[in-house]
Amino acid sequence: MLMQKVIKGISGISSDEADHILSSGIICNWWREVNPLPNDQVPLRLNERNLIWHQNRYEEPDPLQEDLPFCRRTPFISTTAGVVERDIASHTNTMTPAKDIALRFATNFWKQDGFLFFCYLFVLNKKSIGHRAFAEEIRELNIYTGFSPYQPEGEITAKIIIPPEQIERYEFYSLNSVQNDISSGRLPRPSKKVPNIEYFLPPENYHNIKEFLS
Amino acid sequence: MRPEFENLGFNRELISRDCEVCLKLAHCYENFNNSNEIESVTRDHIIVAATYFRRAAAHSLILDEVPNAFSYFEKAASLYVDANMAYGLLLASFSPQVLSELILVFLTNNRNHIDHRNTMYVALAQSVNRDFPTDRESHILESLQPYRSFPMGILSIPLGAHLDLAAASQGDYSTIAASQGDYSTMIEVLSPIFNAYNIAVQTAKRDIFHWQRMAFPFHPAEPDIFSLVQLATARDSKRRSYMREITDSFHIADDTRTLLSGIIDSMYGST
Repeated sequence: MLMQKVIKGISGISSDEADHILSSGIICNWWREVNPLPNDQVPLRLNERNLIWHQNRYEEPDPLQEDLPFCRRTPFISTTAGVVERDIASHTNTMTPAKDIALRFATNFWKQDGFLFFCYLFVLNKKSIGHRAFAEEIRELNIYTGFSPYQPEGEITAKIIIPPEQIERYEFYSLNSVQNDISSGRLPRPSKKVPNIEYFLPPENYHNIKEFLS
Repeated sequence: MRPEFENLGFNRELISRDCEVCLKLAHCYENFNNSNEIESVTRDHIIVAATYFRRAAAHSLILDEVPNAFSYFEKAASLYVDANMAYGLLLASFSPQVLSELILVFLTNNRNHIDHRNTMYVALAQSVNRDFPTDRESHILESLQPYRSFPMGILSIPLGAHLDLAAASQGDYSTIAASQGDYSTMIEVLSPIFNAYNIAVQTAKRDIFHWQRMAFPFHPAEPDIFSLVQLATARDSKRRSYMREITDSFHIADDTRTLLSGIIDSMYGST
């Protein structure tokens, strides 16, 4: 098992809501729509079909959910860790930084202010779709071997909830400030950084190195 | 945006906004300085910058801002070649002057060895020159034949299709089955290219979320496709006059044809 650092971009929320996420976690759209979440349905909804729909048919009507757009009740949560693409033709691997991808989604494609949540997820380096505790490394071609046009989004897919213990901080990006930064040749800087002091449990405390007693 | 593109589900405002941001981010990555999080420009950053210019160029084709598109393609091409990627030569096809310069740069930087995949892009780029192929270049093209089935680029179009296009674009029909004149030759060599494009457009359209936002590496105005069209017609301007007729003759989906014809019309209207 590994702990993979990821970024989740969220648009259309207030600072109060962002603060609340630090203590309550990031929940899936299904949970937003149906609260309380029917716990007995969770294992049934975490399946390969829904993962494919989440990735490739996000806004299409889902016949299994009363023809609502799939995204309304998805049990998955998209995050990104960036990606390296393999360009076979030119013998080159090219990189897409995680923050660029997350910011594009967080600002609703450069239309509004946005929030980036810096988190970590547990991954197994194997498919584990039915296990809600482990995220899916959609971007890993050796695990998800089928071709996806969205592999370059660098997606790591969380399930049901990213709990507050795994959220290190959020950064707020004002659209004006992003525009000013990139217009002057700087990568976008956050207008505000809010660490999750109360709830965050650093992954470094759980890695596979045991200190000697002293 | 061309009126016929309005019905394809594109969001003009979003594309225009994303185009502007791509350009700005491209400049950020191209000109990193110490005030940024990353302290020096690496090859990765050059490629990220080139890819942002490439995306801005493709957006501009959809927006019917062709002079801008060509200028962004030039920037992308130069940066890819700076990063020693011969792929840049393909994107330079939109500007003959830049193409000649970049071929020289690339060949100078790779005097000792070019692998067969990069060689293909060099050969394609050189095929627009009047004196192509020289004996040496003919030998290079011949040496690529064993790799005909090798997939190239974002749409995995076989290397053989590129080889045939290179041959046909300079008037050599010897490797083409249907050597019944230039028109049918063009249909034959463009067929695998347009078919790959058709499949990609139809696949991408199924995902409404990403299609409306053009949030995928494949682009509806895919540079790999339109740079090949540009190369196919570079040496013989009369081909431009019947390229529209050729696109009409292919068995492809209507919206693929709308994109293909619209962008080709825009490209030739401005050159």
